[in-house]
Parts: sequence; C-alpha cells; structure tokens
Amino acid sequence: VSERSKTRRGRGAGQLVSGYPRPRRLTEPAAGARPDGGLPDPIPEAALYPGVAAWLTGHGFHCWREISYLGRWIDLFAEHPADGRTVAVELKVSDWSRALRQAQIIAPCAHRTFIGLWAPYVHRAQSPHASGSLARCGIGLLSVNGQCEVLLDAHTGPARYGRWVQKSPRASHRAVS
Amino acid sequence: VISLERWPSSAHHCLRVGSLSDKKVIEACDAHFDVLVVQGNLAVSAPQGLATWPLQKPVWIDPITYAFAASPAYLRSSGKDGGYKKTFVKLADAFGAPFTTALQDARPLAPDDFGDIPASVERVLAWQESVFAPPQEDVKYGATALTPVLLTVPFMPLTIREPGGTVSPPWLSANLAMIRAAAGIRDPSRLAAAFLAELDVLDHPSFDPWFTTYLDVLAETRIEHLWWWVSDHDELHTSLQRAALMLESFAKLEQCGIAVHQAFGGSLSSFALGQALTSVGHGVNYWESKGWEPIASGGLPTARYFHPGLRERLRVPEAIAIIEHRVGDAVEFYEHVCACDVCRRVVGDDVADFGAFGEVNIKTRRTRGGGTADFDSPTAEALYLTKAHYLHAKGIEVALALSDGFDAPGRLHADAEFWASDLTRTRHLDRWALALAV
Repeated sequence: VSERSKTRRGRGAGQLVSGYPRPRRLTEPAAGARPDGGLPDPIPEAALYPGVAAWLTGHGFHCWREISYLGRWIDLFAEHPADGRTVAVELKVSDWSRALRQAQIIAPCAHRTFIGLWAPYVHRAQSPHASGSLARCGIGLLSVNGQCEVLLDAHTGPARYGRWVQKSPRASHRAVS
Repeated sequence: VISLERWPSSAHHCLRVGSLSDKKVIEACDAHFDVLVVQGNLAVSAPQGLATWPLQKPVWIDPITYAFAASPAYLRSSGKDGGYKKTFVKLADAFGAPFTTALQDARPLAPDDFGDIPASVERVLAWQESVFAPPQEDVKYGATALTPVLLTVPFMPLTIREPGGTVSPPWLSANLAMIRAAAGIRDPSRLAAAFLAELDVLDHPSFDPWFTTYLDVLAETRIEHLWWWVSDHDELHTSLQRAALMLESFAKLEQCGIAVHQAFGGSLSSFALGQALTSVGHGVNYWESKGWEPIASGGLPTARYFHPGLRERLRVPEAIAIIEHRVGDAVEFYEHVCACDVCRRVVGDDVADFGAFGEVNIKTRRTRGGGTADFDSPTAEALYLTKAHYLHAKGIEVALALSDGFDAPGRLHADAEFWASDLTRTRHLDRWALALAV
C-alpha cells in the first residue's frame, strides 16, 4: 500500500479514500483455473480502481469514485462530457456473482454496466454458467490488473434512473483529452 | 381517537404506534386502517397527545407488561447515567408491585413475584381505563375519558427453559391465572387475552397441549378476543410447517368463538383474514415481525418500498431493478406494481420518477479518530412517501383478502410466477399459498 493512501473510517471502514494500494501482485495476468503455484492471494479491491478509471478516462469519460445512487454506493461511475453516455462499474477481486447482483441493481442508472474482476480470478466469470448470466443480464465483464480489458461488452440501456445518481461537481478522474 | 367499548365487526386492520413521530402520515392515511394500537410506553408518556388526537379511530392499548420480564438492561436509557427510561418507571408505578420491586432490584420479573395476581391485574386494567382521562380542569368543560376498545389482560412471554422436556414455559401458569383473574373483575366481553410465545414454543413437541390449555381457559372465562404474537416470527422467512401451524391455531381459536388478532403480521396474516383471523396489526412500514426482547431498537431510518406483488419491503434501488425487469412504462407500472394514490402521485406518467421513494441526502459526520466519513440518509420526503405508500398498499391488501371470492393461493402463485427473476425471491409466496390452501 502506498504511503499516501488513507483508509476510510465509519461506513465502508478500511476502504481507501485517497490514494490507492499498489500491491506488486496487481499486475499478475489471467492464467486460468489451475495456474502453476495456485491462484494468488486476493489483493485489496481498491487496487483495481486506477486501472478501470484510466480505461474510462482514456475513452473520454469523466469518472467518479464511490457515488450514491438512492442509498447504494457505486464503485465507479463515468459520464462522457460530450454526449452524456454513462458507464457504471462494480469491482470485485474474485466474487463474480456478488458483483453481478450489485451490477444488476445499479444498471437502471447507467447506459452500460460492467463488473470488473482481478485478472487472476476472471476465469470464474467466464464459465458457461457465469457467461450466460452476464449475457442474459446485459452486464459486461472487465479483466483488471495493471490494465483493463473488455472481455464481454455490456448492452446499452436507457439509463432511465440516471438523474438519481448524486455526482459531485468535480470528478475524481478527468477525461484524457 | 374515539371511545368505543366493543370491537367493531368491520375492523380488521390495526396500526401499531410506538411514537408520535409518524402522526402526519397516519392522519393522511387514516382511511387505510381501522384501529390504532398504542404501545404502553407511548400511552404513559403522551396520554393527552393521544386523547386529543383528532383521529376518528378506536384505540387499543398494549400495556407491554412483558417488558418487565426482560433483562432490565433493555429498560435503561442509553444516556451517561444509564438510569431506567422514564416511561418504564411510570408504567411500573402505575402497575405497582411486583413491577416496581423488579425495577428496584434490577432484575427481570419472575412468575413467583406475583403474590396477589388479582390485585396486579386490576391495576393494569384500571390503568388502561384511566390513562386517557382528561385533566381535572378540563372535566368541567365536558371533557370525558377515552375508553379503549378492549382491555388487554397483562401478559408475559412463553419461553422454553428445558429443550426437549415437557416442562411448561415458566410464565404459562401465571398467564392463565391472570386471564382467570381478569375475567373475575371485568366483563369478559371487554377483555382481550394475549398469547405471546417464542418460536421455540411454537416448534416444541408440547406446543399443542400448552395451546389447548390456553383455549380451555379462554372458553372457561368467556373471553372472546386473543392477541396472537409469536416473537420474531418473520413471515417472509418462515417455514411451511410454522405457517401452517399458525393458520391451524387461528382456525382452532375461531372454532371456539374467539376472535384472533395478529399483533405483528405481514402479508400472510393479511391473507389469513379471509379465513380465521379477525385482524392484522403492523407499524408504519415496520413491525411486520417483532421480538419481545429487546424492548426497543433504534438505528437510522431506511426508506423501503413495499412491493405489493412480492409483498416485501425492498431498498429502492433493488425495487427499481426488479420493476425495470418487468415494467416498461407508467401504464404497466400501475397494472403490475401498484396503483395506489401515493404511487400515482410519485410516478405520474414517468416511471423514472419512482426514484423519489429513495432520495437521500449525503451527509458527513465526524468519526472517533477525528476524521470524517460520508453517509447517506433518506430525505424526509422519501420517508414520508414510503410510509404513506405502505399504509395505502396494506389497506388495499386487507380489502383484497376480505373481498368475495378472492383466491389467495391462486393470486400468490401468479405473483410468484410473474416476478421470478435473478433479483427476486418468490419462494415465500408459494409457501404462503401452500399454507393457506391446507
């Protein structure tokens, strides 16, 4: 964990509120269900944020971290300054089914919704059952380590409930111009 | 509230209140319930506020005598001095010994404490008759005492102390003695007994003989009303066996001419109104299930939307995701989700306006370590809307259950089929349907 990082107190205790952990293992690649030496120990979820935020800002989105949608907190929410397209991302290190449930709940507020998993565990979300569930729900899949790779694109919805997302005026990550 | 000395035959829906914080929404939704049930601690702390409340509803008091059988820790305030809450001290003073002595000794009330049961019962009943009496200076201007619709016989919780044995719950004999004593000092038609039991009692092999003893005493004393309260019996998560046993018990009581009132019930109880239950009670978007201990619980309020198809209170984003899955526009919303006045006002012709039920304020608070943390809490308007919708939807549910030819199992199966998705649980609907069809 970088020295600059500070952890949250109160709700979501332990979550980083400034800076991000940068464990060396973050960049480990996807290597299937039985890699040599076994699956790596999990890393902090917050270590996944910068990679996804960089991917979104690289595509011209402004990005907000942990914002409120009617009492739920969305891990990453992005909005394109030009056309208002929105993307919501739920991040988990290994638990794809929990991420999917959370993504389904926030999906009505964004045009596209993804779950992001740490690359060494992303194979779990690529099983026939998991892929079928993601496809049926229209939720996309991101593989995240140092980079962010789209493994399954998300369907585009109407984002009917987008106005109930409470964004601060200042995005946590600005679009790369 | 109004005086009434007999249970109105048209009354099937009780609203329980433990504080006056929901006064505004209760007044606005008074067409959607029949009887106001007041917790004893509210009655003793705000008697004039209740007596002069311009609400055209009969009132029924729960004297919460059971509170004194709990650990005294639950009766203490959370303040620095840790003394007893004033309302419990006032109640104990009104009820006299042994309630006062148990408080003084800082211990739970025990069955052996009741040396003179008729005297204790008399004090609890007399308190209910007089708690809403007007101040002396108002009597000369014609103010009269408000009379509860029924007088509740003091009651204590039935618990199991020896698993698997046949030893009766410690409070069983005392409860029966209090019922007999009450019938000896008041007209039995004015009385309501109560059956408060923990789930362990319901599941116990000896439940049937204990319950039959209650039935026999009610028949012997000619008491016609019984409050049914199985502590922490959550109808959403109950088993088929528990649900069926509850409905079977209602039927047995009804066959003996006893009107059964569910103290804290959910939609299964609402649908039982079409069978053997006389009334169902709940709070304002809470208390569909309640444990007798702890006596009061706190915490931040949450704005939850009662989904009339799933018959479950859901967080608003979850409700939206579920609704979005099956509903395309406002017309479909009214057809499949809810067409109550509150939903019509909120949703209008844009289903996305449904989000108003879950609107929150983001706040920052100081933490113990000197830092700050963000949290959200529902806006006052969102809390009001979810409560008002709840009362409207529950009123509609009760009316539906009592309507001619209503097929509860058929409706529940149909709703389970319609709303089944990755995001919902519908097994409780099928389970209720099975129990109601037995």
